[in-house]
Amino acid sequence: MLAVMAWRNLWRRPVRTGLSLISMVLTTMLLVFMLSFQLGIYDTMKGNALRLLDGFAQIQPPGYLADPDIRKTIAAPGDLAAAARKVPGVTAAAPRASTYVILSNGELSYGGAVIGVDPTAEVQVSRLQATVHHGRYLAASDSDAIVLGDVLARNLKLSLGDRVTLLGSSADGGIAADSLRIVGLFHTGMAEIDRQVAEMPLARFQESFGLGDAANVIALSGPSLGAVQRAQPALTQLAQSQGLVLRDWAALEPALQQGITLDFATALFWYATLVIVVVFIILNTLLMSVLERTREFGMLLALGMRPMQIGRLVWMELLMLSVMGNGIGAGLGAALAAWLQVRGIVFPGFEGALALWGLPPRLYPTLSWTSALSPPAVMVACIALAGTGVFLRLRRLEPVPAMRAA
Amino acid sequence: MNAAWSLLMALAWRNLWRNPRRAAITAIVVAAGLFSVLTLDAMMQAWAQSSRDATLELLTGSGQIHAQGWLDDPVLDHRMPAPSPELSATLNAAPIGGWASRVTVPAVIQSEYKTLPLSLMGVDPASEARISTIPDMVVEGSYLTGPDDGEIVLGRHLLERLRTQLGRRVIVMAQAADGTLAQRGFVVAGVFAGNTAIEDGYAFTGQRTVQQMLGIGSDISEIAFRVPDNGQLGAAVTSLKAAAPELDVKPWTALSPMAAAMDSAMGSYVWIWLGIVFVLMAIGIVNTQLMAVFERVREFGLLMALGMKPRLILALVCVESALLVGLGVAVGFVASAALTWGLSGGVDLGGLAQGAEYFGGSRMLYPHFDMALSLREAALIWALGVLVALWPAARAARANPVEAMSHET
Amino acid sequence: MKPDTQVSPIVRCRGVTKVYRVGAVDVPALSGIDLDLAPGDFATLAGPSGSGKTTLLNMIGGLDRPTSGTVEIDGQEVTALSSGARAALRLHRIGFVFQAYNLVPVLSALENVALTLQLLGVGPAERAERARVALDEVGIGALADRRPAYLSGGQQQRVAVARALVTRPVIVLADEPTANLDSTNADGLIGLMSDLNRASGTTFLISSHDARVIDRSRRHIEVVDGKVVSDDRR
Repeated sequence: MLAVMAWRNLWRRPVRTGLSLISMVLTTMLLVFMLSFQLGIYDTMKGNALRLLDGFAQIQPPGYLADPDIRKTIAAPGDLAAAARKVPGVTAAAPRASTYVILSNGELSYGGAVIGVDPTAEVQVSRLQATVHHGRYLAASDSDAIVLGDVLARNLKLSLGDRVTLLGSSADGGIAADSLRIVGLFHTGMAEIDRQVAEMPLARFQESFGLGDAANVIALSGPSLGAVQRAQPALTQLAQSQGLVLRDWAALEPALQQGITLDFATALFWYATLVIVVVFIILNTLLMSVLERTREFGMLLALGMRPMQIGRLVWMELLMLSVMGNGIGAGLGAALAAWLQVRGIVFPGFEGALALWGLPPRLYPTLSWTSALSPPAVMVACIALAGTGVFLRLRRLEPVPAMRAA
Repeated sequence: MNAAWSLLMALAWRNLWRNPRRAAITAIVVAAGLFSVLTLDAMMQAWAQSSRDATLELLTGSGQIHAQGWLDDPVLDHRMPAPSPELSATLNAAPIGGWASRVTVPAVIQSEYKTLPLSLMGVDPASEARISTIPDMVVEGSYLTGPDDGEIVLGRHLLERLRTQLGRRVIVMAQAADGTLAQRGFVVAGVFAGNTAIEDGYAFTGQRTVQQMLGIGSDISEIAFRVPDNGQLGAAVTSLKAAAPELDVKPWTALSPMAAAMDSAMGSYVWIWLGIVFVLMAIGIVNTQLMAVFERVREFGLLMALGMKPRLILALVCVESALLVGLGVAVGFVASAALTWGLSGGVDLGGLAQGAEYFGGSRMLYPHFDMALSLREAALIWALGVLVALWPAARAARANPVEAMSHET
Repeated sequence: MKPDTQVSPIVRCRGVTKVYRVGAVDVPALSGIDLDLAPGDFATLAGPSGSGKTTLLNMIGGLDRPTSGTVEIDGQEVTALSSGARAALRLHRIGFVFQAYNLVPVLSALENVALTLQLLGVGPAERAERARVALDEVGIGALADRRPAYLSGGQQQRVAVARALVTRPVIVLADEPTANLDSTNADGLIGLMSDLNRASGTTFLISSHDARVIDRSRRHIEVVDGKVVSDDRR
């Protein structure tokens, strides 16, 4: 009957309860939607940035991250890649070697990065092959072949089938040079990559740049970023056994990781102020509803009800109110997010800025248990916590003064 | 009328404190709401400023002029001649506050240890100083001395990666006008510290040195100009376009869409936030004031029975709300001003600096409390708060003396 | 005035005093009350405003502790009990009827009566049954599902009486139960209480200065300035 009383008590002041509900519904709805939206964008940003070239994690020689150098190598990349693929959560491991070279066509020369890849493994890690719009990507049987960023090719006045000359330094410090036939051109939309990157077969790279059987990194991929993150302990162990280090996505894309952290931390700060405002609104409502019922509580105490039971009654009212309000809010927010997850959101005028962050013009929220449940859970917890003050006050209630209260 | 007002004020003020806890909580709701709006505003402005600083004041300027095609593909083929007399005249006139011509080419820099790609920028130090803050950011050695300077200024991070140092030689290679690979040795004269992207991406030397190296005579690749009053930018772009119709004149909003997007997004975001906060505050105010009115129905009945007009009751409740909301607004205003003032020395984003750069800002934020804008927002919140309190006030004014006196409390 | 020694009393007050502190001033409300109530008594308690009747009622009801003296209810010393134990005592042994604010507004008449049974831990079926019987006894069984707002003042007080009796207490304390009623309803209510007293043998102590109530009582106690000044049995 306590629950029945609590429920009916809520509706003694329908306007007040309604307003309190609205404040919670609005806030939770907003928070669920915003959180889904943010997490969705973060996922897109991470996915787009990492799938293009980096992979979800990499095994590297120590110090390679700060200063990528062809002389920092992994001795037996094939065996290590095979071992990495056996780790649960990892589906692909692609050995790579890379260095900065001067690419030239006759008198024309531009600087760029050339990456030696194992085509079979590479296509499982990197999405670069999907951006090839002229010709084809590298194949396992290729030796005399290279794919270039389309801007780089244009600047060098090269087209499909032409030869490009690479000039750089080999692993032993000498001069290394090679000439390769262009089999494909790619366009990623990331200006730096289209202007500066070329990929060639790993075996040919090793030969031309005097690497022997070595590689510089092993790029890893899996069904999802989360799966690879869960495999991190095993991968770290594997890397350490070879005197190497594991670099997670945050290390590979520190700016992206920090950007996300910064954005998220800032957003959390504003969300917190919103939660504080709502908690105070509810606290005030609770306080008023308790004060105006002091005589009634006095009567219940006189009949033999314990102050704890009255506390429980009020507590139950508070919980019902907040669970209802936040539940409805979370439901609406989730529905909105789910709807837009299908439809997408367009921000007119922001397409350029979005492209700079590697985002498509149409953005999609991602509804998850975290985004749908954490805002209402935090709200209910904060409100319940704020209610303890009133609860403690009720425990000190004495029947005679209570019945005398105005 | 004056007497009535002073009576109202006295009554209202005392009524406010009949339930101090309730008044305090409502004031806190308003204060927290306004605090969040004002602080968000200050932070957003600081961010937008930092974003503008990071892009515009480092290199971009208020706008740039290029040959057609350069922006799509910044290579030597898309260069332009030195400004015509007509263009120079426009550049030297108001509202333009300064301009600088530059030669920028994609290049490769080589130390004994390694080879890295970057943009080589040939500048005239005197005019560059009017456009860009990089000359002031030299932390080691010195900036260039003139357009004929044959030494080079590099970013700190790049220097580390090249494993070279001040006074050592580096080699820069770039595509010359005749298609050959031009190559020249430079002594590192200065080291600048900016954001990582610029430290890694640019090397500066004398403009004429680059022109000679590339064999382009007096040709340049861009002109950057600065318009001190952002409001005049549109007019400046229009007159420059008229002076050089064959060239591509772009304001910073087109050159740095990210900074521009930030700029406009921030503004609308603050107003959206203000709207959300206001709705919540309004609920808080109405809820409290409705209750305050309900529990005083008898009292209003008595006041009416004594001859107080409903209009005056309405005014009384309004004044009470105005005081209550005003109190919250004042507290929120002072708290936000104090915080912003306390942080005006700069907020160091520290470990997240690269993240800030990723989103187009820089590691330091300098929040500034915009008094006029804040007062406007505070006044708006206050006025809207009083407006929603009309609902409970109207409830009070509808009190019927007879009914009110027998009202069950 | 002499204590009843034949049967052990339901209520035994000895030298009960109560001093309230109002600001910096001590206000004596009761100054040495000796009073016994026997099983089956139907007593009224009268006195001018501020005489201490309500305070005395609160003492006997275990709502308040005396400053000095002892109060025993059904052989149990109340003064020494913790507030929890006093709450249990009220629940099991005492029924209350107040002047106003008697009922929980969100509960129907039946639910109001059943509430105390629930606090006693009575199961749902039994408490519905007993509450219905109690409402029938006070003559408003037909209104069992109405909420207090839809009941007249007299009907509300009848529900309060039903609630007071449903736990089968040893004593029912009623504080000015007729104060807000017209004379017909007041007569009806006091008649009802008198009948129930006769039928069940439950002791009633009713504070009132309503002459019609005092006329129908079988024992009349008057309190002035915190002291019992007369105690007439008829």
